[in-house]
Amino acid sequence: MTRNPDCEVFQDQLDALQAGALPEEGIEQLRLHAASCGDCAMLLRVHEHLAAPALGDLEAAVPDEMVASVWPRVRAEIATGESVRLRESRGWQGWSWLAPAVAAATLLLFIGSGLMYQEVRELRRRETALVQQVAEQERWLAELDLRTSTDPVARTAGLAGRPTWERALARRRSVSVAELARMLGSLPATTTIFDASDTEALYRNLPSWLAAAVENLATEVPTGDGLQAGELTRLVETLGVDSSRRISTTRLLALAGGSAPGFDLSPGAL
Amino acid sequence: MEERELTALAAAFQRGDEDAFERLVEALTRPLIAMAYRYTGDWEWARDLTQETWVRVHDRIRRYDPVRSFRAWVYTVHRNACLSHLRRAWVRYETMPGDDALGRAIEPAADPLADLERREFHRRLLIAMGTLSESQRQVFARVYLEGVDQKEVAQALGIKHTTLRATLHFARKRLAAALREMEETP
Repeated sequence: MTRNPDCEVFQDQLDALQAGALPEEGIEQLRLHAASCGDCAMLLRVHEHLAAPALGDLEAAVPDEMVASVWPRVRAEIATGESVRLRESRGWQGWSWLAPAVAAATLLLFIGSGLMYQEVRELRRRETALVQQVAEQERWLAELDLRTSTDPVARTAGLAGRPTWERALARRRSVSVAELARMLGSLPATTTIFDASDTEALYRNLPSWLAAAVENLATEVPTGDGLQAGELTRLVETLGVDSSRRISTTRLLALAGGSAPGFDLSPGAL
Repeated sequence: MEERELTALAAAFQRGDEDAFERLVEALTRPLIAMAYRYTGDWEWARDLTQETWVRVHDRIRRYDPVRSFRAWVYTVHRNACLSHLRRAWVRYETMPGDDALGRAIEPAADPLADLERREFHRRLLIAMGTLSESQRQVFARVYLEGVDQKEVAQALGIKHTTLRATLHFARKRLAAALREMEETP
């Protein structure tokens, strides 16, 4: 239905008709509009359908027998409702064994759940310990990877908290013997580069061509407290290695961390 | 029966007087059946719904406030029962009024074809009411099915008369559209 002004007037007239306050000419107008408008014709049909018979006439048409039949039916339904409720309540008496059975089942379930809970707790404790172990091992593996990584950024990040010279080395892929000597020279002579255990591992793994030379020096350089920067400078100078030779910083860092047992110090590797 | 007498009987029933309840049933059953017939178009359903209403009244009499009209309270309970029946019918169309054998026995139709047509239109009208909103349905049902004056309905619902008229207009438009759609797709 569109917002046709005639349709709006029709609705108002329908209200008046419904209230019995529409004059004859209004009813005529109403019918004229309905004849040309499908929706309004339908509204008029609804009105006429529901207007007759009037509710008062309808009341009079209700047979006395039908009215009289309602009370016995209501009374029977109310009584039946009560009897159904009573029957339902009595019905539960035949199931008297059910309550203790349910209680026993509940108790068993409760005990079973408790035992299962203990078991689960123990498994969780073991799981937590294993996870911690795995995490610790992963941490060590990551540290090893970082020390030997060829990526300067990763290596620098992995050396947080380490000595300055180690971090300086980590920024470069390789360093020449001359640069290394300069670096060692710039450090205070007493700075420990290799601790006692690192020094021992260093000597033990030296290749034979270098071992003899170092062995002579070892008599002069005490290694009980490790190797300091000054001692290492002298060692490098004494060895007479070509100063332009470049050494991989990865290998040097692994050496410094003592993380590369059996490292190769052969000229080719250096 | 006067409103004052109805209220007194209701108060007596609230105090446990079952005879008072029987007298209330006798006094109001006829208008309730007529009203339910307007909602269903079927005498069998009208009687069943009236019976259902009285059982509800019996169960809920403690909720009735004797300060208010008992007749209005019962009509509200009855209207809700009728609308609930229609809601169920809107879900399952098969319960819509159809072959009303009791109705034919009560009022044999002078023109069986016109009677059949009237019943079919009433069935469609009740189905179309399912497209209305709850407020539209309440207003339409009270004004058209129960024949209550618009101003009285507005007062009972606590709304302005102009609001009621607007609601009624929209309800009628929607009904007309639904009925016309049903006519086009029988």
